[in-house]
Amino acid sequence: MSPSLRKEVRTELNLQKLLNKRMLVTRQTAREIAPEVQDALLKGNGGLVLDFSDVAGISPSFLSETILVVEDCAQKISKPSFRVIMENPPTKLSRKFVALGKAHGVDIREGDEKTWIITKSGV
Amino acid sequence: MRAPFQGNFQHAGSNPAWLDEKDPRRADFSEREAVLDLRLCDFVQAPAALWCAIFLLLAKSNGSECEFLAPENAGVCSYLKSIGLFQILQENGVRVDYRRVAETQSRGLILPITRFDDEYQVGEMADKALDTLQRSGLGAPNIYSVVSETFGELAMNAVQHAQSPIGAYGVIQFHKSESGEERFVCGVADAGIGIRHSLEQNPIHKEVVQHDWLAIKHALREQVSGTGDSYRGFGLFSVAEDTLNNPGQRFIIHSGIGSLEIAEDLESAPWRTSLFPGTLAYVSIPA
Repeated sequence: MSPSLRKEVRTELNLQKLLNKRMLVTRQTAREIAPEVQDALLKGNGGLVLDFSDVAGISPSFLSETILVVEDCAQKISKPSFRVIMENPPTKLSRKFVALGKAHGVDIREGDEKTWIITKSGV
Repeated sequence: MRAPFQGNFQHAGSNPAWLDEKDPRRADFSEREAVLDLRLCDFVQAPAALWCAIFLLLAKSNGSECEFLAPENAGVCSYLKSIGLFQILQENGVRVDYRRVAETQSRGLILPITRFDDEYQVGEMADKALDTLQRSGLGAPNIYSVVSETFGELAMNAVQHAQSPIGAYGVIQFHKSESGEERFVCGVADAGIGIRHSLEQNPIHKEVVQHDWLAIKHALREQVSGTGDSYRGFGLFSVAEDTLNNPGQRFIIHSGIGSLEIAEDLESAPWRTSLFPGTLAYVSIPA
């Protein structure tokens, strides 16, 4: 991740360590990290880094629920906009994930080589 | 009722028409006994094995006396035993008649036929499948997470939408054809309401999904779901999308009396076929 991106956020969650799973495929798994996400968003002032190191695969269902969790947590701390940096995603950003982002009203794009950036602008 | 099969039993789509009238999901299913006779089969593919499991377990849950007559071919019988079909049936009170075959451990078996009912079990199976794939050394290692993710997405679809009274069943195996072609195959089957009835729960789809085959085609589009949530409806879409972009991959869905197949850059027209009492999703990925 570029130094400029890292500078904007202050908190990082390693999902493999948090969840002790290498395949993140269910919505339930995504919901398990809600407390940590809320805490991290609060500390990161609406910014958050999700580190996918050692995660072998993610499914659209997992990513969809992760976005919902982040959205919900952001609302709880009165942050209508947020920026999530996914470090070391296990796969390339394909059309299915981009389409998923659109359905959620967020922008998902690749940052540098090993980064996806999920952005929700304030309304 | 007694249903005989012979030769190469690939999937329920080739079942005789009279079996369509024997839907064990229906309240008027009243067969005193249900016997699937595969004694003359000299090949049984995984989708056919999943249909056998779903049909007999449903019939059993509706009070029928059920029996599975295994293939007389020792190799085929041994294969069906190794993928866990006999065990699943016997554990649920279905009588299995098979010749004593040596207990073989199929090197290509990644996940035997396994029942699952909830998301927790799906997550456990996906992780376990990845471990087994990595230990197996079969195929290309960079495909393992693709196999596990694909299976997980199909399994999630079953637990979230099927409403199956007997749970859902999944299997993953490695297959090498006589021509040397190597593939991983993932199958997920349930005895639920089917894709058409699932989508009908959302009024905006009702007009479009008047037949099972049309419902399957519609379900492959993004954001199409029976839930009404705009952020749902990406499961089947994503597997279809991956299939269209992955050379050699195949994706077959059979739900009710509809079926559809997708391959690289090609989505078939959906067609009417023999009954699957629920939904079967089957993906074949070059290894």
